[in-house]
Amino acid sequence: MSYLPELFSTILDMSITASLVIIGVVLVRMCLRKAPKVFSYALWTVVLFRLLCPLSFTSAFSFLGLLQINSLNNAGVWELMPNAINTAPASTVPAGLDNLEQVLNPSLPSSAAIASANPMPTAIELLSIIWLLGVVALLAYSVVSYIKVRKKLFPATLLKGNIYQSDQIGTAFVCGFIQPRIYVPAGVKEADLPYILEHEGTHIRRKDYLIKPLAFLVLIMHWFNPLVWWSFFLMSRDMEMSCDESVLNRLGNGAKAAYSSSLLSLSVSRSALPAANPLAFGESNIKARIKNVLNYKQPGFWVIIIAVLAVGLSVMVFTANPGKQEIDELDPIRSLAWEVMERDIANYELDPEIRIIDQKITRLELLKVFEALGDTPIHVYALEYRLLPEDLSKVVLAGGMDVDEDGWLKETCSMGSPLLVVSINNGSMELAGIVWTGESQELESAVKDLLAAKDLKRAETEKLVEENLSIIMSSPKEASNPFAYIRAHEQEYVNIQKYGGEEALQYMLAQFEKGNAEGLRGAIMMQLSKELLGLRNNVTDDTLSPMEWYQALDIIEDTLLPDFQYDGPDTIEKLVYAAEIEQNSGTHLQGFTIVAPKIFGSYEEGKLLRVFATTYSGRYRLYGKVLDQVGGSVVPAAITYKKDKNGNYVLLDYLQSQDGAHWAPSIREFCRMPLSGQEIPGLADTIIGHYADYDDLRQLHFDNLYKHLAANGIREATLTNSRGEIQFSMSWPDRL
Amino acid sequence: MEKYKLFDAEYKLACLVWDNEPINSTDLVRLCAEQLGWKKSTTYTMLKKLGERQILQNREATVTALVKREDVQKYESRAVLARSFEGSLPIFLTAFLDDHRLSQQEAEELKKIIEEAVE
Repeated sequence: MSYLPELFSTILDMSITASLVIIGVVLVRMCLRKAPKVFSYALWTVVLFRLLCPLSFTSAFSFLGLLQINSLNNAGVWELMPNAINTAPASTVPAGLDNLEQVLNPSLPSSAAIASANPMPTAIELLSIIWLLGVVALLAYSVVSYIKVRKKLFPATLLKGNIYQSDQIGTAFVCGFIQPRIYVPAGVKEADLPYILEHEGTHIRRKDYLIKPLAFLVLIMHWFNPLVWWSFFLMSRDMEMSCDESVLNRLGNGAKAAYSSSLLSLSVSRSALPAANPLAFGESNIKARIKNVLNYKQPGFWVIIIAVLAVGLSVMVFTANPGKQEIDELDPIRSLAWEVMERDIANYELDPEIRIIDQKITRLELLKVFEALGDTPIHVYALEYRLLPEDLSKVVLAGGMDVDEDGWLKETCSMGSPLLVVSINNGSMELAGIVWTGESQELESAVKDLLAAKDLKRAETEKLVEENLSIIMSSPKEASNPFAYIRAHEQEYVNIQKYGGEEALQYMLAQFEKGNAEGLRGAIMMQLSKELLGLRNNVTDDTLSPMEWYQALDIIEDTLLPDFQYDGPDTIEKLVYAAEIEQNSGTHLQGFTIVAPKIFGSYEEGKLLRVFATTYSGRYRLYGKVLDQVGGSVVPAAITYKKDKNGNYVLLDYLQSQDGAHWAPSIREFCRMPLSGQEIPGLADTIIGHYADYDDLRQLHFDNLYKHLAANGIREATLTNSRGEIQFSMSWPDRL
Repeated sequence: MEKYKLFDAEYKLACLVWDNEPINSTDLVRLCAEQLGWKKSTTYTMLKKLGERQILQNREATVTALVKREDVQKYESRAVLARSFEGSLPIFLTAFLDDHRLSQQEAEELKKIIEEAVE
């Protein structure tokens, strides 16, 4: 998307937001009719701000928050028409709703089909060009008429100070930006002059001669919006009237008649004025102004106080965007939806080339309520949303994924779109899980299964932890040291760790939260939790009691990183790296994968290519500055590719050496040509021989790890082995 | 004999010349700066204009008038120029931003309102 439509979109958004604010300001202005006009005048600053500045602060007390349009994007930009012109947000009932099937863990399919950004010109692009032409035309027109005015003023003659006289003009005005001058018509009556000068002098003092051109520039920017023209007109009027009032304040009420006579005579005698050109400064709306002058009374104390409060409050309320906080509190389902979206975004952003710069919900609707499915009522919400990637061409679109005409990613994947299953507990909402529209199961049974699976899992975990815990705690009774109990029942201890895993950890932490973790029970659970947490445990003080430890616990989140990516020029290496990453990586929740292959040879026969390599792979998680190796292997493999009709090699077959006694024979077995199956002499011996000392691979592996971390902006990271020796550090001098 | 017609600014310059002629052009520039607020270039431009119309002449840095004060008349109306200026504005803009000019009737009405308010 080019720059212009984006700019226009921003302007359009501001224009729409400002229109609402204009209506608000006009309403407040009506209430302030009796108050001095300076208050009405001051109110317009809000409109000016809204028309000029796409950003604002958020507040719970926002006028815009009253309107139930929740479209605040993550940049603090209040977006009413997301990306300007969008198609209507989806149909009301997602297709295939009757046929649902639950999927517990939504994760992105990783199959690859490269998306291409669609460069078709859209309505928004066309409109933005029209908008630009209008702006240019109006700007040119203003400059030309300003030059014309200046020409008419040549040569004006000095009257006194900064006041000039000319017979080419019909009314008095201020002209100029840096050194504004007052111009008066040559034939002006002596009696009128002091009033005219007082009025124009007031404009200069209040910098009105700068405000009006600024307002006009903003008007040009929003020329397509009639409300903006209207507000410019009203603002000009408020400016003039408050200027008149300020003159009366200085001259006193006695000057009313003379002052309004001057206004009248000036307006009758003039034939044309540069008022239509806002770059010069003329009069407007004489009749209304004269009436205003005649009716003007110096405001009482209370009028001023009330007007100041009204204006102050209005400015605050009209300037603020509705707070996200407020939306979330009012609408917990929305915060759950944002959570789901954030998860999806995190998924996308695992690829370092992808950045999601905007997000919006296009549909969030209560679809169904199940009162009796579980212990608590269950609500099912349909969620549809869009994510805007910075560069769409970088996004790999999996099957069923879609992009709208403005380059936003739709949430749909091959499973359809998500339905949030929410359990309502004492008015609070908890996301029980997600089912998808695209699967072939009825909604009710899908939700049932989801809840049952969740309950079962919870019950199983509870049983596992509690049963093993009670066995551990059963003996030896006489010991006071919890470690004595653990040593006596190592099998049960390991059971909780091994079979309970993350769920057991969550269960035990919940027990701490409930306060159900006293004495021996607490001590054993603390030990288990510490081990399960590993590097995520931020508490280093071992002297704390279990409850103290839990109070101090603040789980360190791991930094999600993508898998290693080979960026060298070699085709074969590239193929091998890709195959090895696919072979060794897990989901991002299981850490990121680094591979380092040593290639022993590649053999092509017909359309088949077979590459032999031993790969040192490792899976890591990064907690703060600490690397944790969660898996790894050094394995010889034969990788076979087939050349497709475009000349690209597609992975066909991946053969690994087997474990134990089969290890060497399995290598000899796969060291053959890809098509004929002929044995390749000497290759197997080379591979087996290299395995005795793979220091070169270790070196390459850590080099790749270093490169990968550096490429992802990680400057500090250390890997320690089980003996506490540092194996790898980003700050090792030989890497610098 | 038809009189020469001058605009306000032209007339004021001519007056300065009549009052002080013959006057050195440098002195005239200084005088114009003091009394009319003109820059040097403004004065020379005006001198050239009136020179072309055979009203003033500037010879060897001395400025004199070629016509008598009695033969010159100031323009009373600026309608011609004003109209040409207005003609450059799109109608909708003038209509939208500028109040319509007061008719004779409206002016009378307003006058009455002012008088009543003061009493």
